[in-house]
Amino acid sequence: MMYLDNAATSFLKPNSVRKAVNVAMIQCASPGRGGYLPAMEASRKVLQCRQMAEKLFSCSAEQVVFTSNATHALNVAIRTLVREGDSVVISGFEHNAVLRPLTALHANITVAGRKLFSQEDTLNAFADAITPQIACVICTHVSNVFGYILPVKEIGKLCRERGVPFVVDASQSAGILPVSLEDFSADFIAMPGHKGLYGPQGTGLLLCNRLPNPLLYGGTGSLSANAEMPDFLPDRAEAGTANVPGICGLMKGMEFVSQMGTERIFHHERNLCKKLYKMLCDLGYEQVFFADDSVQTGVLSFVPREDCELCAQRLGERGIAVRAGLHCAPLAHESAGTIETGTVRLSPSVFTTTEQLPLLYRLLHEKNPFELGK
Amino acid sequence: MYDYYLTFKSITGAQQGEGLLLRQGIRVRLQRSPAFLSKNGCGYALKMRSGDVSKAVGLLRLARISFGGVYRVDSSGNVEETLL
Repeated sequence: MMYLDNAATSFLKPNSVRKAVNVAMIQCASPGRGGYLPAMEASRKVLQCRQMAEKLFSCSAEQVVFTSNATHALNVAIRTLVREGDSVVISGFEHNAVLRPLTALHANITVAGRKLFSQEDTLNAFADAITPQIACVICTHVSNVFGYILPVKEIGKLCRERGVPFVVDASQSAGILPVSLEDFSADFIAMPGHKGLYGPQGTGLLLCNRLPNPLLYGGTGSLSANAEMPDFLPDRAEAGTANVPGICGLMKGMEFVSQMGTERIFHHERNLCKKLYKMLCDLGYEQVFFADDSVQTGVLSFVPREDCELCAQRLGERGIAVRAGLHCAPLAHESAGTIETGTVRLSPSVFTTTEQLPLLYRLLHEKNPFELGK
Repeated sequence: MYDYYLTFKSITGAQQGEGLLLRQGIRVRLQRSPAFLSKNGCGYALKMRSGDVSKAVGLLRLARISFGGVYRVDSSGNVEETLL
């Protein structure tokens, strides 16, 4: 299979990740709960994973909270900073993982920056929208649909200057671009473990620059005589038994990223993206969303000449995995003008090779009965 | 003969302390806090020899790794909090 849906989840993982998950299931019990060997081994591995995150994201190990995915992490951040009816500023490229929790809180949402691949437009729109009355600003680092790199560092500076909390969704950038709690001036950074960090599904991280409110309440293995959740990190946001096999896999995924280097990973995926763009242009596709390296990662969306879902279905049946539709990001599609058609998204990973591309060319070149307007 | 325990609220803090002290050549053992030292319920502690306690406390404070208290326990099980 040619897997081009890494923006959803990286399907191919390093062997070390699979092995670590298996070993954890043999060696590890509950971390932070017992004093016997398998419990202490679990605790040791969980700490190693926090320390790897510390190294990759310029934070301390205690600031690393394990979650089940980026959505979970974003919900913790949002529920900490936003009360019913509060005013919030978000970008025009946010995922439903941001939009839906805010809608559930009846937040007064200002969408700032709609122009695709224009960091200047995005920054100006945020500069206009951020006032001291805003409860928080939430911005994705990279659009999951178009790979657009938003200027989060500059937005973070604006937030700090104006005293407004800042949340970054690093779902599409962790493992591909530098992500730093310090450099982004962020209060929280949310990310999945199962995309660019090559960990298993069911893993995510929330980097905390302030004490979060718990989303889940329960046992933490600490201060057990108290009925209230601990007031310190990471325990405050980690109720219940941790996903130790997942965390051990994530540790190895992050180690893989650290050894490869985010710059090398970025350039590999960008080179493939450029080849894919050229291929789509050669095939006569008119709506292919491509920009410079400075504003786009390796994620490429295009509008096919047939229904996008049928196109993805046809490719899937022939061994090419792509994602079609709205990608859980209607705001991004509204911003780019593709809300009616949706797009087909191609998202390679470090394991995608140039040699795989001719098959995609051949299948997209084939005539098919569903082509629109023919 | 005494044992000394440095208590921590969470496993993460205790692990950070363990790593620091071991790197500095201080022999410690990370274990669950004895129940008589866990006034608020579960916790972890670093057990060490009496000769290392002052240095260990200094190193942890320097690294801003917070701990609960320092306790001296004799062979009969008598506990005394030590102020360092």
